[in-house]
Amino acid sequence: MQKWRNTVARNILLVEDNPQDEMLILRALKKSNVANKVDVARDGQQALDYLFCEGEFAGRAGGEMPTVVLLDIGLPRLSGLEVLARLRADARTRLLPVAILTSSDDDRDRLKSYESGANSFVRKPLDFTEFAETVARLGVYWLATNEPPGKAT
Amino acid sequence: MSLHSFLTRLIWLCVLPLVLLAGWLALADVRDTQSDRDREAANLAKNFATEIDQHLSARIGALNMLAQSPLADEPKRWPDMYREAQGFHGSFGSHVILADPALHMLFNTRAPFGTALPMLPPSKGRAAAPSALETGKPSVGDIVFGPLAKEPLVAIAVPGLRDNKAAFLLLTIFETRRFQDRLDQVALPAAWALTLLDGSGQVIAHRGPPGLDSARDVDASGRFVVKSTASPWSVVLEIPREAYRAPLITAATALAAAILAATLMGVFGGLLASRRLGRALVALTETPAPGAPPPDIGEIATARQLLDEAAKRREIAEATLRESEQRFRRLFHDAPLPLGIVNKDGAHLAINARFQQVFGYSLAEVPTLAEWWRLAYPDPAYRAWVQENWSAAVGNAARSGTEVEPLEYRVRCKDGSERTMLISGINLGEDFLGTFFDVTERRKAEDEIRRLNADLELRVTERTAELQSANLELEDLAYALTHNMRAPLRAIGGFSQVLMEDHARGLGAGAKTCLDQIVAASADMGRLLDGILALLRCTRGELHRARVDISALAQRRLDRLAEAEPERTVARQVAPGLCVMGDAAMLEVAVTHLLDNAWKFTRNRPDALIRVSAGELGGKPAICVSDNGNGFDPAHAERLFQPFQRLHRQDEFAGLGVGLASVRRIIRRHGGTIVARGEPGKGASFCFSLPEEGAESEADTVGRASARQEHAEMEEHRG
Repeated sequence: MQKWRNTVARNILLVEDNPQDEMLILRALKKSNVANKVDVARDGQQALDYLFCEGEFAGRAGGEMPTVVLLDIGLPRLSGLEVLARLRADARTRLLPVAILTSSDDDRDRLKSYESGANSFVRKPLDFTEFAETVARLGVYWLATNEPPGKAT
Repeated sequence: MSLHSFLTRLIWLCVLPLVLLAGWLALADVRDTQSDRDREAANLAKNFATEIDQHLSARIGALNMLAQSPLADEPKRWPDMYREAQGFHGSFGSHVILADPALHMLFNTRAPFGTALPMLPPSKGRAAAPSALETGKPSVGDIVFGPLAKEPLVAIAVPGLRDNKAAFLLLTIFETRRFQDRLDQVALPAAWALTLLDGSGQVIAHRGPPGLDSARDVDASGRFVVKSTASPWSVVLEIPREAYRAPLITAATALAAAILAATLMGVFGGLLASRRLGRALVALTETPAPGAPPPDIGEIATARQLLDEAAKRREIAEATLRESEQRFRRLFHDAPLPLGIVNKDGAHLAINARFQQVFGYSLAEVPTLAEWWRLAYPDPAYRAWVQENWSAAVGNAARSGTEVEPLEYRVRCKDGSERTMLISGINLGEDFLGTFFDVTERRKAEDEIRRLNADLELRVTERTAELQSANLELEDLAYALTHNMRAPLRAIGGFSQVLMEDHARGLGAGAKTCLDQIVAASADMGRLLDGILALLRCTRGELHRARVDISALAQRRLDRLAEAEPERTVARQVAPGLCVMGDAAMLEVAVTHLLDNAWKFTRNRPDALIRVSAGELGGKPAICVSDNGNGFDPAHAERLFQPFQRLHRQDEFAGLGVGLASVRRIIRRHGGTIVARGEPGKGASFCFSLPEEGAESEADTVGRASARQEHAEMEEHRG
C-alpha cells in the first residue's frame, strides 16, 4: 500500500463552482489526508481545458490525468453532465474515473449520470458533519481503495 | 203513431170484447125469452088438449060402461037402458043415442022412449059411428051440423062389442058450443089464437084476435099443434108474427140500447181519461209555462220534475259549454301565441290574430297547409325537410296519442324576415291545433351564449394551461429555490462547525453558544428544506397510469415496518385484491405515508390494529387505511393535509408534517379525493378514491391546480 502510494500520483480534480462547498470539500479531503494534490476547476469548460491541457491550462505542468474527477452537475458554462459526455467521448479520458458529487437529488440526473458513464454518484449531504465524512470516504475510496484502470495508452 | 190514436185504439181494444160479450149475452137472453114463450105456448096448447081429452075420455068411459051393460042385448030391456042413458044424459048434459049397426036409431034420450026415430044422419067427412063400427073402438067424429039442434055438433060413438063384433052403437052428441065455452075460459094472452080442429080440419072452437089470417099472419114458428089422444082432433095455438116478435124486439132493443149506452159511456170515459193522459203526456214534451201547476197524475208529476231537473242541468251544462266555448274562442283569438287550426285535409280553419300579426299572412293567403308551407318555407329543399319532419312528428303523435314533439323551424314572414319558431301541436279530434312559439330572440341569445361559452371555454382552457404552466414554473422555482438553499445552508452550518472545530481556542463561551444555535437552526432549516423537497418531489414527473395492487404494496410496507420494530405487536389486516389505476411510484409513496402514519400513531396501543380495506367515498369505491391509534379532532381534519401542520407535539410523535400533505398531492395529482375521519383516542381512517381509467387527462389537468376541489372536500368532510 505504501509502495502504491509512492509510485502512483494521487491527484484529484474537483469541479465545483460553489466556493463554500469547495472550501469545505478541500478541508474534508485534507483532513482525510489521502490526496497528494487537489486541483479545482470552477466551471465545466475550465475542467475540460484542465483535463485536455487546453486554453488556460495549455502546457499544464506534467499534463497528467487526475486519479479521479469529483464533478458537480450544476456548473456554469458547461454542465457536469456535458463535461462527462465530452470526457467519455474522448479516447484520452474515456476510462477516467469520474465521481459525481452534487447537491441534486433529481433521479433523472442520477440516471443520466450513469448513462453518461459516471463511475459513482454521491449526493452532498446537507448536514456538515455528514458532508465532511462523505467527502473523506469518497477520497479514501477513489484514491486508496479503488484500483484505477491504469494509464491510457 | 200519435199518442191520441194509440190511446183510442187502446180504448176500443178494451171496449170491443165487452161489447161483443154484452151482445152475446143479449142474444142469449132474447133466445131464452123466446124459448120460455114457446114453452108457455106449447104448454097452453097441451093443457087445453088434455082438458079436451079428459072431457071426451070421461064420456067415452061412461058410454063404454053403458055399452057393456047387458040391457042393450035385449030390446025389452032397452027402456031400462034408456033410463040409464038418461042418467048419463043428466050427468054429462048430452043426449045418448042407441043405434043398430045399420045406423037405425033405437032410442034417443032427447026423445021419449019409443018415439020413432030416423036414421042417423050421414055425416060429411069422418063420422064417429061408421068409424066405431069399422074399428070396433070408441071414436070421436068430426063436426056435423045437427038437423034437430040446428047447431054444430060433435058425436062420440062407442061400439057395443059382442063376440068381438059391434052389435050396436052408443052415441052421444053434444054441441061444439061447449068446447067454445071451455076455450073461452082458457087464460090466453092477447093477440094469441087458440083453435080446436076436428079430424078434417074444421073449427070446433076458436078464440083469437079478430081478423087474424093464419096463413098470412102466422109463421110456422108461431104455430103450436097438439094432437088429441082420444080423438082425431087437434089443438092449434097460433101467435101472430107481430105478437111473436114483439117481445123479442123489445128485449133486443132494450139490450142494444143498454149495450150502446154502456159502450158509449165506456168509450166516452176512456176518451176523457185518454185525453187527460194524452194532454199530460204531451205537456211533458213541452216546456211548461212559468207558474203552471204541476201535473195532477203523480207519476207524470215525478216525470215532469225529473224532466225539469234534467232540463235545468242541461241548461247549466249548455251555459258552461257556451261559456267554455267562448273562453276557448277568446283564448284562441287573443292568445299571445300564433295559433292555427287545420282540418284533416290540410285546410286552415282558423288562424288567430297573433298568427297574422307575427307572420303577416291572412287566412285568405294561407287557406291550406300546402299554401302555408309554400310561403313560409320558400326554399324547396328546406320545405321538403320541414314537410318530412312535420309528417313524421304528426304520425308519431297520432300513433302514440301524445302531442306533436316541438321542433324548431325557420319561418319566412310576409315582410321577408325570417323567424325561428318552435312548432308543436295537439290533436283536437278531427282537427289539429298548431302552436307557434317564437324562439327567434331566444335562439339568438342562445347562439350568443353558446359562442360566449365556447369563448369562455377556450379562455378557461388557455387560462388553465397558463395557470398550470405558471404553477409548474412555481413548483420548479420552489424546487430550485429549496434545492439551491441547501448549499448556502450547508455552508452556514458547515463553517460554523469549522469555526468551532478549527478555531475553538479563539472563541469565547458566548460565541460558542451562538455557533451552536447557528448549527442547530441550519439543521432545522435543512430538515424543512428536505421536507419541502420531498413534498415537491413526490409528484414530480410524468404520471404513468397502470394497474397498481394496493394490497400488495400495503402488505409489503407493513411487513417492513414490523421488521423494523419487532418489539411492537400490531394486528395488520389487509383486504386482498385492492387495485387501482395510477402511478405505481407515487401510490407507493402515498400508501407508505399512510401506513407509516398509522404505525406511528398506534404506538401507544397494546392492541394496535391497522387495517387496509375497501370503502366508499361519494358513491365511488375507495380504499381506506384505518387504525385504532390516537386519532384526531375532526374539527382539525383539514389541517392534517396542510404541509408542516401538525396536530401533535414533536415530543409526542416526531415528524415533519409533510406525509399527509404528500399523500393528498399524490391523490389529487391522480384526480382523486381523500378524506380523513377520526376521533380523539379512537383512531383515524383515511379513505381515498381514484377516478376510473379514461378520466386521466382531465384529472391530470384539473387535479394539479384545483382549489375548488379542495373546498368541496372540506365541505364533504364537514358533512
